[in-house]
Amino acid sequence: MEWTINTYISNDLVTNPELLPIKNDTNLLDTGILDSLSMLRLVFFLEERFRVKIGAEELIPDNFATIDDICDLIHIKTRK
Amino acid sequence: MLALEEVIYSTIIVPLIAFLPAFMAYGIACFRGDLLYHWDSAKREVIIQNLEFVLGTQLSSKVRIRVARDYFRVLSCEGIDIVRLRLNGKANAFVEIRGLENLKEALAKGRGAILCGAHFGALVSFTCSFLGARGFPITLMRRNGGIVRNAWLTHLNIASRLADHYLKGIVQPKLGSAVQVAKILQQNEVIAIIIDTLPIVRSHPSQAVLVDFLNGKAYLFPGVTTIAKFTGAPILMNFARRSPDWRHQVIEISPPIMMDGDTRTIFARCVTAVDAAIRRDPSHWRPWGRADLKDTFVNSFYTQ
Repeated sequence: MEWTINTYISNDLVTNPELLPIKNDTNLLDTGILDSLSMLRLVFFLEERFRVKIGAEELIPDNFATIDDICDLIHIKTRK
Repeated sequence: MLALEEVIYSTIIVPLIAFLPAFMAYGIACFRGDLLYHWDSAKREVIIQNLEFVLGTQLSSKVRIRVARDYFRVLSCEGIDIVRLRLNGKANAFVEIRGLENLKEALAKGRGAILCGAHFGALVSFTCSFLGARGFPITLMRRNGGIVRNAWLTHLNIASRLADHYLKGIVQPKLGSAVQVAKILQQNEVIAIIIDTLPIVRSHPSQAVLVDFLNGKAYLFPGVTTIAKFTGAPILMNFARRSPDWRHQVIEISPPIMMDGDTRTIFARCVTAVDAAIRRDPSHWRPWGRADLKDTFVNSFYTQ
């Protein structure tokens, strides 16, 4: 899962090549990789790829700060 | 004193005079606007200077003064609009909608619709509520405060609270808001977005792009076009303007903006529409009252 998400973010969302490669604990928000619009694409990717629904209340920095955080969120949702 | 006057006007006078016949209610609102024009000399001068800075000699000094006076009138009338709308839909007889078929046709295609506008006239508080009262599921993207910038005054301001009554919801611009907006559009509902939030040039966020705007260049946020391209929802430009009698209004909904080209090209079309609306009715544009408006333009009429 980490690899899948990391690959998507690296290939589709990172606009500054100097930020590559991104680690799973790289802060996506502080580095500017994730903003409201790139999160739009990421969330729809996650929902389609992992067959989950991410609610508005889950769209918080704690859930999307790093790839590890995103994986934790997906793990929780797929376990339900 | 001015703050106290605003509290009294918004919380006491507006709810009372809204019950009066329209010509009286709006007549009193305009009178209050004229008083404000004379009392609030600081803001009056800011408006006049901003008009000169941005539009230069395209407006004579006499017209700038009239626009500044009308600016205060527009502000004063807005609260009346909302309260009258809430009172058995009394606003209906005084509001004409042009282009409603554009919104209906957009929703008939099942991808939702984006009403794109500006801090212009009564869009934020009234237009969306008016359309919401007619049954359209409208969610407004805006910061807290609505028509009243002061947070505590918002709680007291009856009009401000009533304005949200007919809205399906409000989305605040923050991380994740684009996702919320996209999901709302997927449900074939309507999102209202304002695109003329002008950041200070020297500290503009990276998401903002430099565009031609009102004789100069300014940074604006093109997120509306990104969301439109992502969801397939059409962008309909939306403006409300008052008739010369101050009682009647026209809400205009445009046909969909052409979506060919890249995000920047599409966004430029939206900005051009906003630019045209401001030039046609300059008194309706709220940012004239910003003390830092000059800091939001890279250049202006005079520096070209």
